Amino acid sequence: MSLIVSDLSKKYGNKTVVDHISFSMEKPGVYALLGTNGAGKTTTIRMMLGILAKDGGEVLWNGAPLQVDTCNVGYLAEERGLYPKYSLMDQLIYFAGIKGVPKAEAKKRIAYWADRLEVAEYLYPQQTATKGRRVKKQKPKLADQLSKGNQQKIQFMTALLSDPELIILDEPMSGLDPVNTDLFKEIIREEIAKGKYLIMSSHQMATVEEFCTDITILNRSKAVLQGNLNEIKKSYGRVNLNLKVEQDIRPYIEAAGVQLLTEKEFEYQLKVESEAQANGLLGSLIQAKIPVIRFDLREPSLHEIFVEKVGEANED
Amino acid sequence: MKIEKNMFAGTGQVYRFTLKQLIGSRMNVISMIVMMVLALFALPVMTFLSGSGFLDDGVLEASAIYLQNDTAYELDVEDVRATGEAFSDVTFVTPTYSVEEVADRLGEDELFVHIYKDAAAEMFAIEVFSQPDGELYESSAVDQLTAAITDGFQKAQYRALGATPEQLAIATAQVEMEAEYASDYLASDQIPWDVQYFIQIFYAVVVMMVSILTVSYIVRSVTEEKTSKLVEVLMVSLKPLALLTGKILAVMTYILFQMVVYVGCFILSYKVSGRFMDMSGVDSLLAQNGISMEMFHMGPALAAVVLLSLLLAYMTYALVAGLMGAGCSKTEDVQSAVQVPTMICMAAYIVSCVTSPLNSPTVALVTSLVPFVSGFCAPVHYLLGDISMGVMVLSWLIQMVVIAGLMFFATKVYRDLIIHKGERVRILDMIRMAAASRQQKGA
Repeated sequence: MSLIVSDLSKKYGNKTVVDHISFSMEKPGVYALLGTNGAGKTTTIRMMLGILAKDGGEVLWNGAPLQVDTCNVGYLAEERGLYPKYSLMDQLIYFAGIKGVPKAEAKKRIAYWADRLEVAEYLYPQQTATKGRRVKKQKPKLADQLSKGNQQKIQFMTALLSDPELIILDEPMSGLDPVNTDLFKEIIREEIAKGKYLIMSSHQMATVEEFCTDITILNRSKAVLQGNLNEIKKSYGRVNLNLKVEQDIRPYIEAAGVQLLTEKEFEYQLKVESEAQANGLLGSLIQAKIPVIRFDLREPSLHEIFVEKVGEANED
Repeated sequence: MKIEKNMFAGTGQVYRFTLKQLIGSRMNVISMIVMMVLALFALPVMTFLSGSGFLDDGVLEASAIYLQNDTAYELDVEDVRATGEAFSDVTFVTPTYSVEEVADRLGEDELFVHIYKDAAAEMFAIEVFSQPDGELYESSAVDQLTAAITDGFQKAQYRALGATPEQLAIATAQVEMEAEYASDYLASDQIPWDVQYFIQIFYAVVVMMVSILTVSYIVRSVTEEKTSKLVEVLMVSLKPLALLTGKILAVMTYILFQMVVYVGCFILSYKVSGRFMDMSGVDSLLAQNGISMEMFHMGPALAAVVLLSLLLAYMTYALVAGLMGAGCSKTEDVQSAVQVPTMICMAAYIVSCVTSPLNSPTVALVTSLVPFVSGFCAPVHYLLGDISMGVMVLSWLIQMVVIAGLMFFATKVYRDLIIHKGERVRILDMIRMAAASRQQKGA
């Protein structure tokens, strides 16, 4: 299976909102679409899914145009919602139904995901109290009675109910608390392990970095950087140095020509030009018999690459 | 318009879900119960307001009927009994007091019948007395008894003159009189003008009610999905036309279900009320306006004409409503979005009411063919014989073309409209969008 997006373009009047975006996924995994607000991520996703008409380009799934009847797609939209006054169970059965999941099967899957996402209490009548021999049952909740986080879980469930081959998650973790963020991450890892193709758009670089193998960074409708994340990082080299000592070493840093980013209680975040420059600084500290508690030389984070690339593009 | 194979895939799911939500909605349940109560109680209330009340059972329940016959003609009680079941047990008792003492001596459940000759007026008179506080006072059975005694007395007169039973039957046979204007007699095969007008108004009101209810439901339903931010997820699995069609069919089923329930309640109320209440007041009120229950008896062919016409009118307005709803982004826009199709509907209704009394074949032809108006007028003109079946079919074809055009238009703009945010999209903007979409495809 493969997903190929080539030359996707969209204009509103004279304004180009997506400018010849291309990328591909040859094997299962997570592909990240990153970008500033208004960069064109959501428009790209909408065109891929056929929600928005394309001005140009094509999206192929296994060599054929991507269509809902040829590819089982699960989609968690950035702008997500539920029918506020309808029963959640009815809604979930409906969403599964329009994806071709029979009612009985949908009920089984809903039970599984309700348990997995810890929302069963909102979907099924709950036994609240006993008066003598009478058991009182509380009605399942309506969507507008749920917290935003729990609504998001239900919406995530709708994306997964059809057991999709291709899962598109637009800002899946925005607004979630740390516990639920971890729950979502765990499920995403499970889906990756099942061999699913995931496309994820997010502003949370650390989260994306945890999963994605390939990325496209969009800025002002254009792709400013794309490729395999490891290779991109390697191309930058190990330039981030985290140094922890027990005294002020600023004179040594200046002497080595290293850029000081931050300093807090003798823990320094430094930017080096090369590994040799970092080793030179370490050598001078050893020579001066300054004890080094931590010397951690790393590649730049996705966050740094993103900020740098978007900044460069904006300067141009 | 190119119809894609999967254009309507999922319509059934949308239909079932929308219908379930419409039927289950608390607000809809409450309004339906209110309407059912109105339909059930409107007729009995109207009956009371018209001054009528409960029917008595027509059986004369008098403990004694005193008969004082001061004429030479002997009344045969069998003649009275033969006039109906109400009097099958009637027996007359000779009074032990005179008619002058009736006020003091007559019991509350007794009647006193006095037959005498009024010498001054040179005629016979029959008087039936009852106590004003008694159960028999103002009873319809007493009126019927008076009529039966009158007939019986007439027969007694003929018998006294020596009439044979055959002669008696001829002499006392019912005579029905009918007086009408010569112009009415000559035009007796035509439906009267007031009846024609009523049929037009009645049908137009039904179409208008169905259309306005539809417009309101569909605009709200489409806008709800947009404001709930659901539509994007739905559009991944459904084509816009399937989403719209599912909704339109569900709303149509719900409205027709409502109409059937209300009409059923009304008929039930009429039948049940008619058993216990005197509906003559309501009947005469309706008759004064040229309305009779016979008007609603339709053959299957005519019923099919009316239903198909109603369906096409419904589809036309429902599609316009769907487009208007898709142009809204906020709940506040619903009111103004509803206004456009409602105004078109009202205009068509007024045209149908204004043109109907003109009784002109040309006007009938034009109003039967012009889209939006034809849904209100064509089946009525066909029913009244103003247009032929050929014109009726042509009217349907034109409406179908309009519906197909609206669907084609919807495929062009619905997808873009449904994810549109901001100010409500006007019709002219929609037309521009459709034109732009066409140009892009052409390029």
